[in-house]
Amino acid sequence: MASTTTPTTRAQSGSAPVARAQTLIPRRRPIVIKPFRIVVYVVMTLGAIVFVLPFFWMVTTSLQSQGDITRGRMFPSNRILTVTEVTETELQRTLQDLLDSGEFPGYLSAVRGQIESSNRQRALTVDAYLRTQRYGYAEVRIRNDIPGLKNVWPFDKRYVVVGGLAHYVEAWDESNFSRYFFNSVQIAALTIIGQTATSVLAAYAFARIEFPGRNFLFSLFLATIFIPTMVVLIPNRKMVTQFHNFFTADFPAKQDAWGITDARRAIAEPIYRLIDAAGLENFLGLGDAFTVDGPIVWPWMDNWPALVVPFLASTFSIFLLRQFFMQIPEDLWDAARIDGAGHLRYLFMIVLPISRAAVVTTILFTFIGTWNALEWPILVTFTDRWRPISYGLYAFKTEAGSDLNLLMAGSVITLVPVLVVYLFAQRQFTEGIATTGLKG
Amino acid sequence: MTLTASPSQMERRSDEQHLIAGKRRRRIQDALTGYLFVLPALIATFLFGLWPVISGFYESLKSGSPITNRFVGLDNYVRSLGSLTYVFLFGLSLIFILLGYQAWRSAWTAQRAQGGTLWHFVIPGLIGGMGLIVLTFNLVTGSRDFDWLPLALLLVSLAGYFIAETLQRERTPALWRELAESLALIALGGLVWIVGRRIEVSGLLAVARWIVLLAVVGWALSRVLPRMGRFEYLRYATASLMMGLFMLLGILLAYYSAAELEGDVEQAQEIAARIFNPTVANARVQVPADPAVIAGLNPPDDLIVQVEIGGETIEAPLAPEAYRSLPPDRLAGLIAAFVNNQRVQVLLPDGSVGEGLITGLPMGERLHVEIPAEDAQILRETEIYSAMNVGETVIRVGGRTEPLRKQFLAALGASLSLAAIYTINHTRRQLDEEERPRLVRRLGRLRLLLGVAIAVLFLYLVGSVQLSRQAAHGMQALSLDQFRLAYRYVYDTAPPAILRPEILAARLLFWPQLFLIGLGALLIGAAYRVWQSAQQRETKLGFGLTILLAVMMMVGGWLTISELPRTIVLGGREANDTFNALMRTAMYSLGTVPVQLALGLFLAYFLFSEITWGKALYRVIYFMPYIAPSVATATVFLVIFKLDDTSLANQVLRFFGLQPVTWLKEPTGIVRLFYANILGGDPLNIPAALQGPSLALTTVILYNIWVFAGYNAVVFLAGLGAIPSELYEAAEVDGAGRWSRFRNITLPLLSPTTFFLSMLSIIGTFKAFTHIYVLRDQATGKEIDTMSVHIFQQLYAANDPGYAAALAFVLFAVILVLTLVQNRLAREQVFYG
Repeated sequence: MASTTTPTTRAQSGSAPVARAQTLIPRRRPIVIKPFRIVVYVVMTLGAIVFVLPFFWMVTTSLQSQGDITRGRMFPSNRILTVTEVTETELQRTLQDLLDSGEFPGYLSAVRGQIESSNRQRALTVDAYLRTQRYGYAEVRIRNDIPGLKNVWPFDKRYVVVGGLAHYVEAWDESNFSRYFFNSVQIAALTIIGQTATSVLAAYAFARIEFPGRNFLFSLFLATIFIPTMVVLIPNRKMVTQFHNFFTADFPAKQDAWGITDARRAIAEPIYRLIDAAGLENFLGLGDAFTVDGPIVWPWMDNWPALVVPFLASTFSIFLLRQFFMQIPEDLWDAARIDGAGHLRYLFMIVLPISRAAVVTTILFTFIGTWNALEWPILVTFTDRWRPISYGLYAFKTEAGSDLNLLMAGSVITLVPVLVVYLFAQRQFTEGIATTGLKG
Repeated sequence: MTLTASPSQMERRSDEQHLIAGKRRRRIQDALTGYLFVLPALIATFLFGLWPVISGFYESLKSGSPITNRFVGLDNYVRSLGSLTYVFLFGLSLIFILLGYQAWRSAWTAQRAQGGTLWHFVIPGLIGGMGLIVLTFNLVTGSRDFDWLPLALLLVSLAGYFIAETLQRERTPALWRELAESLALIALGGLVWIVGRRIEVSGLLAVARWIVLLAVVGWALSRVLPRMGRFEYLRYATASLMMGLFMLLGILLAYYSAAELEGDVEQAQEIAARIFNPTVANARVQVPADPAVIAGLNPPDDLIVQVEIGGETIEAPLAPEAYRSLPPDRLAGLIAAFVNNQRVQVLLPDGSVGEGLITGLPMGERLHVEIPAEDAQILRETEIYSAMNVGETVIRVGGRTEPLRKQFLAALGASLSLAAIYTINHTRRQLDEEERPRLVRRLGRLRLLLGVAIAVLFLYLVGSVQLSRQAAHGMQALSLDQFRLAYRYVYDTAPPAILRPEILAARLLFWPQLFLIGLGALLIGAAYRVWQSAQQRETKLGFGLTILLAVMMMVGGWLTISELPRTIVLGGREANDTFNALMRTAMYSLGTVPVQLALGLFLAYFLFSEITWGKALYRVIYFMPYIAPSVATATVFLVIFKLDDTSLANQVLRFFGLQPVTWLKEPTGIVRLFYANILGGDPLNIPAALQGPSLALTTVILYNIWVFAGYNAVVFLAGLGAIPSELYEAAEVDGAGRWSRFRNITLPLLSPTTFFLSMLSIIGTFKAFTHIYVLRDQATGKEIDTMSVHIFQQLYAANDPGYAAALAFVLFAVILVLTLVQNRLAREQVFYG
């Protein structure tokens, strides 16, 4: 492993002086404070602050109320989070009632004076009052819907979230970010599975197997890097539309003639019963693929195939994996061959375990690429059903209008998974970038 | 195996053969595994990565909207680039022809070493190239009319290769037998495939047919292809195929472009010839003093419609008042179409006017009504235009222009003569003058003759180009009204709306511009050669004169090429949009790449050499923007660079005592803004060309720098790690300071990384899409629309895929040219150790 990533690891761990130290007498270096170094540290720190500033601004804006934003404040002036369990009746009580009974809940007592001073507000219900307030307000309902458990443990509770974090609840629930989020997760998962499979096989073949035309094919793959996205975008949309038309019109019309319907009646019905029993019938958007009523219809547009199939091969992944596979010593292959292993076996038993880091890197890049994709989803999704999160955020940008706190909450939701992945695996990222110089 | 071999020998040989066979089997097995492994990725990449380039090009030749998706030829390109399209296309066909020539040339060089007769392979190569072209054409257009043709051509070419290969060898009966066998196999496979696919069967039989077909063809292929693999002169075969493919492609492209160009120009030439002559110029015509009127609907008597009035369906003629409400101003006539359920007024049998809904039209059909406008009553007499107006010379020559076909032939003749002269020079240099003095002398005379021919043709071309330009200038001088009058005077009908004088002028200028730009390029190329040859001159005077000649040629070339901006202006609004988008992209690139590279290098250098503690943390922070989803980060920039005074960016400005600005909505260039807001001058003192990128674009540039600086730093870090530390130590021992170490060691050794990064960043800025698309909105206008965004807008907002595809190919061409130029520069500048 260490030999495979020489330039980067040396750069990272700063082990360049180590080689020198071995030739000299080993002794501890005294810490010397050089003025130039201090200047560098100060400059670099200031730069780092500037670089982090947009992220900070994103988070702080998402926690601020409208008033704070228009005033251009740096930090939210109101509280960030109060979660209180309430009942429906409590929400519908008017503030006058609460004043009369003197039982103000904690999240309202801070603004008691405001309510007392205004007659108009006293007439409002708690729900309506909270909605008119400048600070965030959201309702969360937690309900137990699991069939078996429901009888044992009935659970239906309502909370109000007051403060900045309410924007997140609102974006997640009402602005459909939960839908976008899980769409993206599913699309990314499918893309990762497909792309890793094709890339590992192809990269192995390009690195290890001699076959005529290998260099030509590889240069064909590399040529795709130079083709701008915009060139392939238009014909690809057309091709996906053609697939869509085939699987929704031509193919269903021919299924009887091709004997597929009969075959399904024999094979698929038992399987369908199983799937139905497991509650998975529409898991992959296959529609009624396993039910026998009517022909199989498999829409591509506005469905996962349009978002996944065009990305089943990635030149970037193949290139990165090939670089890695080529560094595995030839002796290993000879040894495996003597032990009677074929290519497939060698690949899965030896090569893949060795190059786990490289595979993880490609997976991470694929994930990020899918998560960030914008122009292709715009062209092939029309409804929220399969709209991925980047497109969701983009669409929300026009919808949110002046609700910048909601918009920023959506941005943070989009950002967090990527950042988490990055912080855990930042070494793989930088190595991958340094090897190929490209993002997925 | 020979019969005389002893048993032990036989054994050994069979062992050897066994071994060889085993090795071969293993090789084949390996190769098959390799293909199998690559196949899935290959299919996906081919379908969604490579094939789209070809089919996308076909898309760009079609009119965009899904309803009228028909073939429009180069219209989309002409829309986006004007006459530059033809410059590009002829350039492209030239490149193809050169590629074909190069393939041929390399085989030619190989022939010297390897022997054999290359010429035998030419015909199969041409046929095979044609087969490939027809095959691609069929696949792209999905045409089924000649689906047998490409296969037949390819098979004929394959057979030709077998024959050519056989001709190279010593002729023995066995060889002939083998050839006959191969040819029979090819013919059999081809026939079975072509005929078999035509048999109409259904159901299970169809499946059986496919199995039989595939089996037979597969068997034939498996017998033929290995034989082909054993060709001694396989290299000639591939070279001739490449040659045939590229040459034919180049010639076809050139022919097609010429035909399209001619189609565009012909009509304009004809109109010019008819409207620019003394008769028209001196004619006086009657024009209405008032605008035309449509007094009312006077439908022909037989125009009776079915109308539903009050639940009752009757047949009645349309009422004259049906279209009263239309403003009749400036209408030459009215073309109306009625559909079912449209509310109209009809004349009832009792003479009154009733209103009802049209019924009874067949589904989806329209009833077309055409009513010419009434001629105005008051007329006045006027001249169409004076000769002064359009230029005396145009009128005097009667708007004559030379037919384009003749000019093409002249240009072709001139360039062929030029090529011939070049060849003659080359040959003369090779020939020994004393050995064959007559031939040398003859060649010299021929060269002179060709030179004279070139001069004559050139004069002819310049003259006819001048004629076209005159006609175009005359056309440009006409106002729309004058043009309509003249057209009506000559043709007796009103011109179609699409014919406007400026469009005709642009078309008339297509060929002159093409000619001049081509000539300019030729001159500059020749100047470069002359410049190079100057170094070989021995006398100072000769050197000076050659340099002078080169400079003059360059100036001349530059002057002719400077037609370019005019070309774009004449190309119309869309060509202007394209040009502006490209300029914005270039500005964006220039504003981003150097800063981001410098910042990245600076960060990497400090991280590498000075920072010891917290290196990983700094790297993580600086790299974060690159990895974060660009939609999210661009949205934050939208918030930070809001318009209001309280946005973060404006607060920072206020902190430095500056006025708030409207960041992303500000189309003024930053140089002007700096001059006005900070220096306090009049912004109009700065010329528009020097005002720099607009503030809106600068905001996008800032975003780009923020995102990519860390990325550049990471790549630079890898490059820095690869520099051997001994170099620094040696320099330190020699007393080199920090700066001189950086200048003399780090920078040169990093140059491959720098080159790689700059290439990637420039291409990246040309491809940049997501963040710009997020940062733009209605109010931003087109101020930050770089080429990619412009293309996407044409595709998505304007729903014009054909035009968008054409633009995408323009972008592709620009990127390719940039890459090539950079590669060329890198060869001289980059130090690869």
